[in-house]
Amino acid sequence: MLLDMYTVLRRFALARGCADSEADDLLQDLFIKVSELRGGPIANPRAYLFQMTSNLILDRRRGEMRQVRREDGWARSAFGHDLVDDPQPTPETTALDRDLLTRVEHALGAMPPRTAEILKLYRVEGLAQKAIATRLDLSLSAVEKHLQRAYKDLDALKLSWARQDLEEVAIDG
Amino acid sequence: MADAHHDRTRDEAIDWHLRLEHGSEDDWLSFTEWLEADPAHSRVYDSVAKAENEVDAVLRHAEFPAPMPANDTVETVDPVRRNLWPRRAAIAASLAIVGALTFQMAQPGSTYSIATGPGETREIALADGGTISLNGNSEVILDRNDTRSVELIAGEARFGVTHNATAPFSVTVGDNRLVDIGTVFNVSRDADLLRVGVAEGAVRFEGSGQSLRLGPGDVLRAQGDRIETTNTPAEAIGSWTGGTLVYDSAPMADVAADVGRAIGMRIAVDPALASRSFSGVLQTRGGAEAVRGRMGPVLGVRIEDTTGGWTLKP
Repeated sequence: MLLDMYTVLRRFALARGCADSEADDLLQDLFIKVSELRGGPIANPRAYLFQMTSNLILDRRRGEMRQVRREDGWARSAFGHDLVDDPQPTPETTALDRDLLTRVEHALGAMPPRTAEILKLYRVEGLAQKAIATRLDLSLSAVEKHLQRAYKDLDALKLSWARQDLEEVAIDG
Repeated sequence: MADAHHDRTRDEAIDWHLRLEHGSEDDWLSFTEWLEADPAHSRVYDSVAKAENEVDAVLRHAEFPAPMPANDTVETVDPVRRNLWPRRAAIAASLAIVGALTFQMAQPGSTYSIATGPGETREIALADGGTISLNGNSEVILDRNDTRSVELIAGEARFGVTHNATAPFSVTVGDNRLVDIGTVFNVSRDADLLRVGVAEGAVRFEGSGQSLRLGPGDVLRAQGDRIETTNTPAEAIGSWTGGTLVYDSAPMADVAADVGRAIGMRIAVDPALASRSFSGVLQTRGGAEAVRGRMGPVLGVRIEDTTGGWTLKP
């Protein structure tokens, strides 16, 4: 099955912006990981291989991102921050963090209660979408719809925060 | 600039990201086609995945509106008694972090704690370039005035530390101490069981009146005064950070503790399985239910729901 999947996975890796050599590396990694899977049956092996490939790519991107590091104000706030780098936040950063937290909480309050509840189960409690659907007796696609709404609200907030930060930098500079 | 086209692409990327959490093969193929339609799509997708991580960090501190009364009961939280229930621990842990962030002046001394809730992991960058990867349900105490010593209170952490002969890095676990000799190593603490594995370099273990040098691939288990060392492929050590657990003849109790930590579940082992060992690989990604589905056949056990978690049975 692996050889059979090689072509589609490589195509996926290229579409995700990997260079040829990176795609080869990545699939090499994947095949080693898969050959180490001595375990039992996986419900959906083909989708699972895609998922593993996608995770490997995201892990690599995260590694690259850590090197570039902290380019926007959100990431520089205490929430994106490692305490050890700067254990004592200045009064300004604390005020900034409170502002950020307040805005996020405001956005959560503005969502339909079910939507906020599902977001919490998904991101804070770490439940899978299927598990949330079972727990709340909803269809999987209903859970997905709630999460789309919540993600888009928070994404708009994050983008406006990033823009505001850029403006402030422009004024300071 | 955020024009209408950009916003639509971003919305589509969000929809894909949420779908792919449980995507079928067809979904993945359609996603590939969406990516191929415009090279910008892949970059927007990266940005959405990154934003999810950053928003997560804030969500963990945010107060959510009260859930709908019909399907949730109000829970009282006593922040002092932690680790009793995963849920409580999650709430208390986030209180502890918020406390550390916001009310630092109220904390005595120069030490502070970083804790994770069930299934949550955290990367801590150290001032000297080292890193600590903290697994779920875990807690470390750091010291602002001494960045070369850390105490592991509970759970599991993988340390990647820079070597400095004049200021060795040390990890305290209960009465035991680990001193690095330049290295990447993994430490876990489950009740009175301490496990240490070395991926690179070497570590000196000091405890129970003994001092042992551990090299790459060495794994030490210490329980009370009983200390044993075994060997495992070095690349398997700390592999939980990539969502993979690798075992070579490991006791079932170790596997249960590790998986439980990864997915935020209390997993007990039926005494009938106590002497059984496991060799193989377990993936811990995809949420508790997915892991449950994989784990039964892989370990050759039945998984029963019990109060507050699961029990593995023959």
